[in-house]
This record gives sequence, C-alpha cells and structure tokens, in this order.
Amino acid sequence: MKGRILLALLAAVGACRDASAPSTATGSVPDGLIVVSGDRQGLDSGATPSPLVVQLWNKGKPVAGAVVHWEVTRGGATISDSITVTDGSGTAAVTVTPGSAGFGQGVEAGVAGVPPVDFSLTLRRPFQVLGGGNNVAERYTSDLWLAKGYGYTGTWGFRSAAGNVIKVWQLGGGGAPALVGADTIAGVNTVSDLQVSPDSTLLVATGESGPGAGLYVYGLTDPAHPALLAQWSIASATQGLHTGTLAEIGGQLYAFTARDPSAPSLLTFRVQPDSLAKIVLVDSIAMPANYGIHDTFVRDGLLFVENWNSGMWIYDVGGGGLGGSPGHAVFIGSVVTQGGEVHNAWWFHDPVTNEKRYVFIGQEGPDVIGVSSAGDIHVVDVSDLSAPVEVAHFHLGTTEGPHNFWMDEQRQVLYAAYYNGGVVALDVSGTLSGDLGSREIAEIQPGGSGDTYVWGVMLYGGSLYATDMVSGLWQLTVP
Amino acid sequence: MAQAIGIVTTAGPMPHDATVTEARLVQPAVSVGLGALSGHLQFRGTLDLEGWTMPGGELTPGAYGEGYIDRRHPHTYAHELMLTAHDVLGRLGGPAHLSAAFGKGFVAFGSDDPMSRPVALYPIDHHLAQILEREVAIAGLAAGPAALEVSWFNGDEPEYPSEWPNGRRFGDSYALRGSVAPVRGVEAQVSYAEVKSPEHRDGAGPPQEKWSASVRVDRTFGGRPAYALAEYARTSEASGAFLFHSLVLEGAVQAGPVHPYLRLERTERPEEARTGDVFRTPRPPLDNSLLGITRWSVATAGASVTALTAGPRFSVRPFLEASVADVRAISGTFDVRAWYGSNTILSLSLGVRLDWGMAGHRMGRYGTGIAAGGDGMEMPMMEGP
Repeated sequence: MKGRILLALLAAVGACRDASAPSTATGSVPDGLIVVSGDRQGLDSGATPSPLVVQLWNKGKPVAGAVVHWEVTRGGATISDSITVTDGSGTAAVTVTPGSAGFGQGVEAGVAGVPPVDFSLTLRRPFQVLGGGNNVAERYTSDLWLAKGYGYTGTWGFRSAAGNVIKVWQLGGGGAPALVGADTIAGVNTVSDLQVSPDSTLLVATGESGPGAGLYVYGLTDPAHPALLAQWSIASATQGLHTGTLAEIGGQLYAFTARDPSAPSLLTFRVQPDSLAKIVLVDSIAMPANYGIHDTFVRDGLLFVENWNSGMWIYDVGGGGLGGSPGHAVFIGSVVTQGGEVHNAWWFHDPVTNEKRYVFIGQEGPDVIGVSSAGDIHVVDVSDLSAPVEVAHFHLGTTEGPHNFWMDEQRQVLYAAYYNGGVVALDVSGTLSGDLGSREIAEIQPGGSGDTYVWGVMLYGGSLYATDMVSGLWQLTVP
Repeated sequence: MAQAIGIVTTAGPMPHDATVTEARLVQPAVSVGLGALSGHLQFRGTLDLEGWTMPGGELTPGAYGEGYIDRRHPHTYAHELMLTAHDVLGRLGGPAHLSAAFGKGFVAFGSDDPMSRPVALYPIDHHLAQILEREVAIAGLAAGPAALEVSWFNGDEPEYPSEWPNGRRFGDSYALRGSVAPVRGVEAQVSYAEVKSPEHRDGAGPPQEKWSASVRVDRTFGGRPAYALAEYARTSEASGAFLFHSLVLEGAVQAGPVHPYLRLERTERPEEARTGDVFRTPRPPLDNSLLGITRWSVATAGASVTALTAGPRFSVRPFLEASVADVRAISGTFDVRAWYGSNTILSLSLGVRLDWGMAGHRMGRYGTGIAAGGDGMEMPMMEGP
C-alpha cells in the first residue's frame, strides 16, 4: 500500500514536471509518445503476444517518471496494468492477453498533454474447406450469388466449352453445394456478373462477348429453375456489360451496369418485370476510356464507380443530399489510388463504431489465369465524400492480387478473393493506416497450389462460399 | 510500285477442330516515291487496300495482333506517308550523313516488314519484330557502314484500317536501332523500344519493352542470288508480368525462274479470351488477363515461279507454300488440344503474286535506315530473273 502511494506521488511529480506540451523536437525522435514495439502483431492460436512498449520524448530527450494510461479499445483484451510510469529511459510497457470479442485487438496508451498511440493486434485463425470444389471442369467459373438456399454461378471465356451458362446449385443441410441445373444464355461467351435482388425474387446477370451480350433478368419463383423474364441486348458482338449491381432506391429496383469499351459508360436500368417495359434504361454516363468503368458499388443512395486508371468516382443517386437520382446521378468526388487499376470496391458500414469511414478498393494488375496475379487492396477514407483520400493498403505478395470482396461487417472482417492467392480474411477494425500486412486473419487456397484462382466470395448461412475459376464452387468455414 | 497476292489457304485444325479454307486478295498495295532537291527530299506513300479486300484478316495459324488471332490483321489504308530529308548536313557533315523523317509509317525498329520478304504468310512474331503504322519522327545518323536511328512515335496500334494514330499520344514511345553493314550484302541490327500502351488507344494499357536483333544476308553465291535472315525478338509487357520471345530463321534462293524458300520460327504468343468470333480478341482489352502463353514452333516451306514478266518491272509469280506448327502451352491454363483439337496445325497456301516494281522493295526504312552497305532499298534476290 505504501509502495503504491509512493509510486502515485512520483507519478504526480512526474506529471507536473511534464505538464506542458512538448516543444518542437530538436533530436531525430519527435517529441511525444511513440510506439517502441508491440504494434501490428499477428497472433496464431496460443501464441503469446510481445509486450506493448512506449517511450516518451521531450525536447529531444526521453522523459522518466511520466504516467502512462493504458486502455483496451477493442477486442476484449486484458492488460497487465492500466497505469504505468516511464523508467529512466522514458519507456513503459504492459503485457496483453487477447480477448475473444473480435479478431482485432486494440490498446491505446496515453500521457496527459500529448497525443495517444494505438496498438493493433490481429488474431490469426484458419479457414477450412467444408464442401464443394472441383465441380466445374469444363468451364472457367466467374461470379456467384446465394439466396433462398441456392447458389448461382457464372462462367467465363472458353475452357473446353463456352462460358455461356449460369449454374444452379442447391445447398444441402450443411450448406454443401450440389449442382442441380444450368441455364444457357445464347450468344454470349461470358456470364460476367450475378446478383439476386434484395427481395430474393429476381436473379440479374450480365453477359459479354457475343451478339447476346447485355442484361438478363430471371424470376426465382422456383429458385432451382430461374425463369427468364426479360433481357436487354447491347447489340454489339464485341462489347457487353462487364458488371451489374442491384439496389432498391425510392421503392424501385435499379441495376447499375458497366458497359465495356470502346464506349465505356455507366448504364443505369430500372428493372420492373411486372411492367410492360421490364428493363428501362434511365441513364447513360460516359466514363473515361482509361480503360473504362469496371464495376460499381451502391449503398444508401450513393454510387461508387470503379473506373480503372481514372480511380473511384462517387455519385449521389438518391442518398447524397445533392438531388441525385438513379436517372440523374450527381458527381460528388473521386480518388485515384496508388497504381490505379481500380477494379472493385466495398463501402464499409461498421456497426461496432457506427462509422462509415472506409471504402476498400481492389486493384487488379496483370494476371495469367490459373497462375499469377497482381495488385493490392487500397483503403480510402471517405469521411469527406468530395475529397476521399487513400490511407492504407494491404499487399499479399508480388504474384498475388485481389479480385472481388465480401464483408462480415459485424465482425469487422473483409473477405477478399485473391485469385491464385486463394481467399484472404483481413481484420479491418479500428483505425486503418499504412501497411495492413499484420491485419491478415487467415488465408487459404481451396484447390491447393496450382489449382486455385478465386474470383469471388460471399458469406451465406454461416459459411463463406468462393468461386474459383479453375476449380469451381467451394464452401469454407469462416475463421 | 504495286503488288497484290491472290491466295487460297486451307488450315487446320483451327479453333474447335475445324478445317478452314478461304480465298483472299492480300497485300494489295500501291506505293509511290517522289523526290526533290536532287534526292535530298523524298516522299514515300503506300496505299494498302486490305481493309477492303480482307476486313476480317488473313487466315494465318499462329498470327496475332490488333485484336486478331490465328489471322493476320488488315493493314491500314494509309500504310505509309513518310517525308524524308536525306543528308541534311550535306558537306558540313563530312563523312557522316544525317537524315530526318516524319509521317505515318514504320518505326525504326527490328527487321524488314514481312510484306517484302519471300514467305507469303506472315510470321507469328510480326508484332514482336516490327512496329508499324504509327505517327513517327525518325532521326538517323550514318557514318560509313554504321547507322543509328532514333524514333519517337505514338504507342497505340490501329484498331481498324481507316483509323489514324492517336495524335495526342505522339512521342509517348521511342525506339533506337543501330545497324551495321560490314560488307556488301550483309547487315546486322540491334533495336530497343519502349512502347506505351500499344493495345489501348487512350493509354490505359500496360507498356511494352522490346528488343530485336537480326542478321540479314542478301548476296549472290555461285551465281545464284540468295537471301537469309536470322532474327531474335523479345517483348516484356506490363513491367515483366508477361514475356514473349521469338527466333526466326528464313532463307531463299533463286534458281532460274524458281525461288524456293524456307522459314523456321519459334515464337511465344499471348492467349487471350476471345470474343464471339473465335478469331478475335477484345480491343481494347477489358483488363490485363491472359489465359496463358503458347509456344509455336513452325516450319514453312514454299516456292514461287516467275511465270510471266512484262517489261522490266511487271511479273506474275505463282507459289505454293506449306507449314506445320507444333503448339504447346508454356504458362497458364490455356489448353491447346481442347481449343484446337491437336497440338499440330497444318496449313497449305496456293497463290499468285502480281508485282509491278515492288518485288524486293524493303519496306520500312527511311533515310539512314536504308542499308548502310549501299544496297539501297532493294532486295535483289526477290526480283524476277
């Protein structure tokens, strides 16, 4: 008891001595509290974290006797002390025991009068294959969507048969996919994108590479047998629609689609299968031929357009407060992320922090199907939609690059399809900055090395489903 | 000068195990050369009508480029429109000769265009070993048997025969070629080029870094004119993500009215997803994906006969030409046997070359790029007996 009182008195003296804010640094270390070690740790199961160590500097010299306050900010970790005092070298440390409230563990250290510092630790837990796999040998598999106990996958290019088919899968009791049917789209060589409407009544697909290229709408009254209700043809043998994203805005269903070069443009359709005009083009916006529009993400009346080397463009289509609508999109802002090649995006709504701060962007570099890929994940802060700024990135390897994303927002996990890199799970809790290499939770190549080239992922029924271009549809556990 | 080739080609297996036979009029070209100021100023214009006679390309197993595959793309109507100033320095330059050329035409890179070479069907390495149909400015310096050329040009390839180069991109690419002709009829060159976004007109595609080296012989041996070319080319695309190599050996000899020839080639080709037309790939590409890379080992043999001449310049030369190619995937998931039905592809061509003064004209060299050894622009072996 006496020892603790003495410590507290010393701490108080130290705090008084250093009550003023640090002046401009005269040495190589800036004044203030810095992280010495322990930040950005990835922890396998059972691993003991390294201590979290800070050091306080003032006028180029370490400060001894300063009180450091420690606080767990996320993940439910426990720390050895909530208050420590810097030693003769200005250093203070705590040990941390990870909690079970999330893959991301956060601890903040602060000294009165100076900005605090954050420590981020990520728990690594593995994926496992549950079912599926090696179930589409004759075609390359493309996109996927799951709904009503069924899965729908697209096909791409020509393998030993044309990629003109939507495959229908029934999910068994444990969620394992079993092929139950296939719908052929005449006149296309790629079914590039799929999505089921929010009310699960419609399946919408985009087709490319052939006279049948365009938009296709199917009814899912019988989900095992999608029934073609309407189609919109782009009337070009060499162009098509590369992607399509569905969104309900103002009580109407819209499809925001990416038209291929040589006239790249955002084509917005109102989809109303119960009407005489089932697919109505409501807007067409030309995009820079750099190379052109690749994908879109729509949420809360905001449209995020992935415009390759022209970056990500943000529009108000009904939710941005600028009078925009699906038929009259209003431009808000844009950003070109490092390296360009902006392929896809996901706007993260964090239910834990109630922040809508980050957009995750996938960069698709040069790739050889089945062998190699390139690119990074870029994180953009959209706190100011008119001036988004890149704040962080994730790099897996020099020959692996990302493709499509899905998120478990409640658990603050980003799932990224990573082509030959398989599937990667990232902890995206807390503040994101710089290199997120330590944020990797798990990685898996479902088909094994040489037989993995994952196109897309989707969380459904507690499992993560992945479409692999060379090895079909897989069911994975989530970490 | 003018020429045209009427050709019937049968090839198989082509995609989906099909045998394809077609007749086309290929390489129909009219070329005009004008001079002024005692030859110090020259204009070369070549009109190529392939956009009209073969809009869908020419059946050529293994060929690729400008969105065509297993077909050679049609050239642009304005194949060459080049103004060249020769020996700009005159006596001031002493033994060195400076030339400047500008217009639309060939970049000073690599070997001669195959239009002026003995084999009728183009080699697969056409887009590795030549850079053509660009808006280009070339400065050349020749001294004795050596010459150095530097070119500035727009990187984008044409997308269709009537398209002009993207002028906004002039100068975004460059090339260097060093040539030496140590003795008459022997010539060597080494070339390097950095080409920005050749496959995407607006510049969004990956860049290419290109190397070429060749030795060319055009002499008379034992009273028989003979020609030989040994060529190596290498293209690195997307900062090394994709690499393509090529080696070509070709030769021809004149034995009276008969001109037998042979070409051996080993070239690596990108395999891209095709459009609804199995002979087309998307242009511009939708992204930077390849299905894989294949290696084509091709032997082509043929012979032409000078059947008719009229005056010093006109000739009619029927020919027969056959090739056998072995095709193997060396990277990626592209399955050669699944796509073609076999790893061995054969072709047979029967045709007639109509020529008025164009035979042997070496296409694609301007100013000091013309053989430093003094043979000028002509390939004597190609001319009639």
